[in-house]
Amino acid sequence: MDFFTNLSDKIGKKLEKGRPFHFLYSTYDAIDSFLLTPKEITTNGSHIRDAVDMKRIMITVMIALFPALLFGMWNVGHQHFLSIGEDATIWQSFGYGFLKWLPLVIVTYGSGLLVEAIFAQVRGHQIAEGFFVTGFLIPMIMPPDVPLWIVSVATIFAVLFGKEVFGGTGYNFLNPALLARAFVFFAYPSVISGDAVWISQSADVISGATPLSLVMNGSTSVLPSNWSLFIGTIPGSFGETSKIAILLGAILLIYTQVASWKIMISVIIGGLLTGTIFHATGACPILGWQHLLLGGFLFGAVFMATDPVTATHTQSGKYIYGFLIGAIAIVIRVLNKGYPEGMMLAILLMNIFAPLIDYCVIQLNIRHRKKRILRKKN
Amino acid sequence: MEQPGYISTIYGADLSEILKNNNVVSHFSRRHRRHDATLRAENIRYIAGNVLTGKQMTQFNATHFYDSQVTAIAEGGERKIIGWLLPGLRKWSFSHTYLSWLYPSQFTNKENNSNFLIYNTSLNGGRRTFMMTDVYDKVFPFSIIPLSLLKACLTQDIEQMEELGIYEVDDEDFALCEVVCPSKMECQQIIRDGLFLLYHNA
Repeated sequence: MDFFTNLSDKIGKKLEKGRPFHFLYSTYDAIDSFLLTPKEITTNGSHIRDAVDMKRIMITVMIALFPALLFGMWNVGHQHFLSIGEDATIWQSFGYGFLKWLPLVIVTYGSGLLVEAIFAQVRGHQIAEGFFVTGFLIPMIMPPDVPLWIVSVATIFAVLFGKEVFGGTGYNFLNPALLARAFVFFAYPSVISGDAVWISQSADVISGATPLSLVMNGSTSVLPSNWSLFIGTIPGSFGETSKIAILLGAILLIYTQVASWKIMISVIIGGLLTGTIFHATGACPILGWQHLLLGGFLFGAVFMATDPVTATHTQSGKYIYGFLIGAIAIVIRVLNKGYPEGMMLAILLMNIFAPLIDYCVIQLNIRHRKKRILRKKN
Repeated sequence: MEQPGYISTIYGADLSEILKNNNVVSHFSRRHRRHDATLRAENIRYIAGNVLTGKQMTQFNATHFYDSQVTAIAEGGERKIIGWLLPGLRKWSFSHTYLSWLYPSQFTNKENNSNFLIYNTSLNGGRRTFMMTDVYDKVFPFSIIPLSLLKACLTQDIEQMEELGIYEVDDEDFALCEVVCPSKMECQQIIRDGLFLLYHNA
């Protein structure tokens, strides 16, 4: 134990300011705090501190993502073999999906961490852990067959313009993972368009419209059964298909108090209510609760909308924020036939409005306090 | 301490005299023998007051006029390999991210009524920006939005500070926010600076 601590100290001294290899300091610091718990002790204020830190929170989110990821790997392989008409064992399907996922995640982490490290070094900061989750999320929301250079460009764009130009993790107002997806969506629509199914290297005969776009154009008969939508044996990206795996992740996030249950619940309520209204008025053929099983609605509600930095910070603001995400996502789905999956745009839109909601809640709090003071005076 | 208790003494009493017969070291090392083998006499922090708001003192300090309590706590800072990935059965945390929150009560040491969890002065993480701010609202008892008040203090916006209720709080009200903050913010210092700013501008 002492050996590692001493080794780390020795390397740290070699990279101090003024030394020739100082430009590697932030990289060293990231690796050092990654491998060993920090040696800092409290100097000011309270003498004991909670054992939790951002690394622990990020790893908890990643653990929560694992069920969805593991299922997604199997499903990508399963859909591939299904479309070419071959029989495959569970492990063959899983292996195929894993080999599709691995290059994606390597490219994402490589390009994203490079940008992070450069900015951290220039600013003299530590490399923040935020990108670990972002880099984990990006491959899970991309089509399995997306070209790697596009993923790399999108990641660099998201980290650079979504986060670093505003000051780094904690100052960003847009969810970087969703920004990467939005970048691909608008810059390279041919690889990610929302109306054709995502099956990795499928036979041409199979590839057609997604259930969502078919439903929105009026044909409900082609919809997969509710059960297979819930289990997740439908074509899609790695993360979004299995609702049961996403719910497992949601339970972990709520139990560990990492993500806000208020946002998750209000997104679902917003979606349910809007979906039901559209169904009742005849604008949409499917029931309100079926919207929750389609597309990336649940994945967005659990993992994207709850990003603590880009969501609202006030407690009552979270209900408004979540409700509007759910409602807007369904509105985009139903009213915009060209783009059936509205969750990404709804979350990005509400990310922009989150500071406004916070402002309103804070002003209400101020007004409430003023009233109370006046009441006391009288 | 081996024998926690009350002592009536004069102001300015020598702490080393008080602690002479109270063997802090042996007690700590017995309880943490397996986990904190390196704990020695110099690895104990004496605090005038409690662990949340108290002041650090040396063993040879005298008691001050306002001191009514002396706390001894193990110094942290021991480095462990990939500590953020381990289950953390003995780590104390307000959040449920470590498995210690599942701890059944039989692990609690009933003899001296103390928990098996390790409390020490480790910061347990690096300083970050405000990120997980939900926890503040969970431990903050007033009808004040703690994050907004902290941000108003950081931006030195006196008007906003007054509107958000700076007159109703003291720095120690934010001690619990500081303890549970995963970004390791120094909330008490921020509020103290805010109050100082207010004092000098009022």
